[in-house]
Amino acid sequence: MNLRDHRLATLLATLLATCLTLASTACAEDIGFDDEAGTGEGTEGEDEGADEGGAEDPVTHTQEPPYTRTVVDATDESAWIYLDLDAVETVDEDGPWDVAFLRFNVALNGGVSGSGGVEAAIVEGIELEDYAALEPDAAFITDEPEVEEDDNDDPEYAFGGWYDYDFMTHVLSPKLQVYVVRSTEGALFAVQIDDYYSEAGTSGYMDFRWLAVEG
Amino acid sequence: MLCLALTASLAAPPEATDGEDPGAASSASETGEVDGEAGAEGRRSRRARGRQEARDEVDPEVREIEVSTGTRTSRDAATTPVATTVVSREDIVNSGAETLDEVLEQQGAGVQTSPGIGGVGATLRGFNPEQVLITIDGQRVTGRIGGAVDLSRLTVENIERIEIVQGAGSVLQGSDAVGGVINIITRKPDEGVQAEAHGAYGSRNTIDATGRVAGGMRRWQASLTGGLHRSEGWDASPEDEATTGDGFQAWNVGAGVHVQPLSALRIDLTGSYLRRNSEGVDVTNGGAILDRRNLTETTDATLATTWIDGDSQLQTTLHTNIFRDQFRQDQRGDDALDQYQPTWDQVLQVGAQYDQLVGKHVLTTGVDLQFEWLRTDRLEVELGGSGPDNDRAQRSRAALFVQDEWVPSTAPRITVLPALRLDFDSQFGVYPTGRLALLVAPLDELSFRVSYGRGYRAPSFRELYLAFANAGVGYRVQGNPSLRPEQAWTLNVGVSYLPTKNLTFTASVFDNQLRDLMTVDLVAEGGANQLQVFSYVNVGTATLRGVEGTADVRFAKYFGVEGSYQFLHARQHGSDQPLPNRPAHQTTFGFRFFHGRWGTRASVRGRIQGERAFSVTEDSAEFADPFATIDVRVSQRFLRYVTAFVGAENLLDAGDAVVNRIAPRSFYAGINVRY
Repeated sequence: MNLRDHRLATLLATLLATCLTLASTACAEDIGFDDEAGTGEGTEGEDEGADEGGAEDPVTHTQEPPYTRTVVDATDESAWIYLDLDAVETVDEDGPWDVAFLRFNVALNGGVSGSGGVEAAIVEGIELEDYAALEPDAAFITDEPEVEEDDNDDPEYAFGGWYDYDFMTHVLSPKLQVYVVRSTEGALFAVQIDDYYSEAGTSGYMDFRWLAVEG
Repeated sequence: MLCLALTASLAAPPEATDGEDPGAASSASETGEVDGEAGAEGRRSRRARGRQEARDEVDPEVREIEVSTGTRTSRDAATTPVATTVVSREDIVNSGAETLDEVLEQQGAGVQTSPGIGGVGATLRGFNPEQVLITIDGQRVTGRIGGAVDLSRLTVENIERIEIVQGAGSVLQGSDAVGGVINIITRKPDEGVQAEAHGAYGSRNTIDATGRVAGGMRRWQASLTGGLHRSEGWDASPEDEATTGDGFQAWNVGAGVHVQPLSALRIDLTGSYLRRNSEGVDVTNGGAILDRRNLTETTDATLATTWIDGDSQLQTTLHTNIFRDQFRQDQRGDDALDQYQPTWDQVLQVGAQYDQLVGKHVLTTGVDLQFEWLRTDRLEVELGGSGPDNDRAQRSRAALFVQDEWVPSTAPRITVLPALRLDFDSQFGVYPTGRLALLVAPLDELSFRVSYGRGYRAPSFRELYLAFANAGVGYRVQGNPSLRPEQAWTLNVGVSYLPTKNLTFTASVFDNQLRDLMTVDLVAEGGANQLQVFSYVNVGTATLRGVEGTADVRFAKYFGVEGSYQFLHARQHGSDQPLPNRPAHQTTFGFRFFHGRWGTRASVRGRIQGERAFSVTEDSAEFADPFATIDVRVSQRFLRYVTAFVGAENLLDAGDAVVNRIAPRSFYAGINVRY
């Protein structure tokens, strides 16, 4: 039908103007995290768990007799976490540390990484429960200088091969093997790495069981 | 910049309309099937006829369907030298589609939609979504996420028709039109009063409610459009926390004014705003559960003027588009993987185009200017810099184009369409493109088309300046400011045959050679406590080659069948591995019934997608299983203004959570009211 009614024309024009005004002023709410940094740090009451404050010890120990389960928050990209296995405690860089963790890197206080003389032997293909004793000819190794030919500039860590890397999923999975670590005090500890991810799925949480063993 | 176009409307093949089945075929472009809703397009047709009349060359059988994407000037779809598939308003309404991706799903085998990181993208004859340009009324749509424009955010209530042009279109459209252009033509208000409402409810609490009111006087018209859309997500793998399809809520408004203050001058002012919120749950390979949300807003405004003076026409356009996306990822139980990434992308386009009819030539020349600004946390424009502005990028382009549409003969019809374009890009300099298209129609019912041209895609801001680190697994990806544009030389040869008004056949052969494809590659090994560095590099070359055929047959007055098939050979050079996500075989089929007097319409449409490479490495490829989808729909008109409809989609319940992420079987019903 033909429009001859100017009231309708006025109505249309008003609607149009209203619409354009609404559109020009509309702007959705900001859905960012409260800290505005975009990292989400310190937000969300539901996000309770591993990251609950900077002063907390990044290492937790749980007794699972006969083993000790240790979880190291090694998520920091620059700060190593140093662990004294003999005393079962976290120490600083100058302390009598045995193993240290930075993301997926595991260093021993020996070789190029330290002067504590710590070294490790690798027993492949077994669970920690199946570990009995080292073979008499077991070879101990420690952290060695970087080999130019490999694909990184890191030292050749004794623990360097603890994981399998899936190039498709970027997931790190622990190999089935037990490390026997000779500590700064000469004690032996059998160690099996179980996981690299926290319960919330965050990478950088080194989860391993260990116990003191006889030679 | 010159762009020569020859008015193709000198004579047209016989009308292919079936009064009982108007616009029934969903992709009748090359056949010139008449659109039952000429609407505002009628004005353009009248204008075109007016120009013909001035030359005493009126053809009373001239078609109502005009297209503009392939030539940038309005053309009869049947005689444009650049084959154009048209999806009319009536096709869209009858398909039951609510968004652009749903419309395209029902097109021929050469069009494929696929869900990706940034939403649902369109693949044309093997060209992936970032190589397909999406435009609205000729103005490019911004806001690509992961390279693709999310077609599911483009709702259909204000779409008059969709034009799909296969093959390189950069010569007229510039960057991104490597493998084709999908141009959305919006509805224009007409005189009088028009009002319509649409409501539908379906599985997963899907609600679509849209409305439009339009009207005006002889010299001016206005329209107002709005819509609400929502749907719950879906999950093809309930055994884990991850969802497969996102739930969403969206609303949009749009308005347009058409004014003709002088008989020769037309002014169009349009604007729209869309807000869309989508939510889903991801589970990382490390087991983290992430609640993901995207809040997307787009705002468009366009001012277009057209001055028609005898045999010439001058068009100017001013267009701006603002895209804002907020991406939020919230890790359950921790905040290590929390992310918030706001993105602002603004495009300003200014264009002018002059068309001049000279004898048997239509010369088109024009200039396009484009300015784009993008701001996102993932950008690092000055690598190593830490200034406040290094999360922002901007660039500008200027282009000159010229096209000559020359019709040396109208019986038989021969059209030659050479075109050249020169782009000046502030990032990579001068880039020339060209195309030559030819139409030969020895008979009214038989026409051949050939086109050969070069398309290109300029590196995106992401590819130039991305700075993304995944320290958890020891790598980072950074952009490469030295990237060259991706390019393709495309050859399309096609034939369309309409022996009777009830029979339509088309066939085409295409060969596309792609060069300088951008891929991500390792450029630096990680150092001590350093990350491996991946970046974008120009290394890839590939071939997309194949054939496509379509058929549409109407019979027994009320019935029609349609089908299409595409064979695609998509190979990377060097490794000779298949390109991922390109099935070698695709086919579509449809059966439809329409009884005009009863007001009854029914259709069954299906698509079979063959096996396709899913994960490809240098020396191996994993393949995804083939699958088939079938959709059915029945509608009944009553009380003159009201149409009720019911339908089902994906009746075979195809799809899974990993390789074929398509929505499960769903049902819907609704009502359309049109006055």
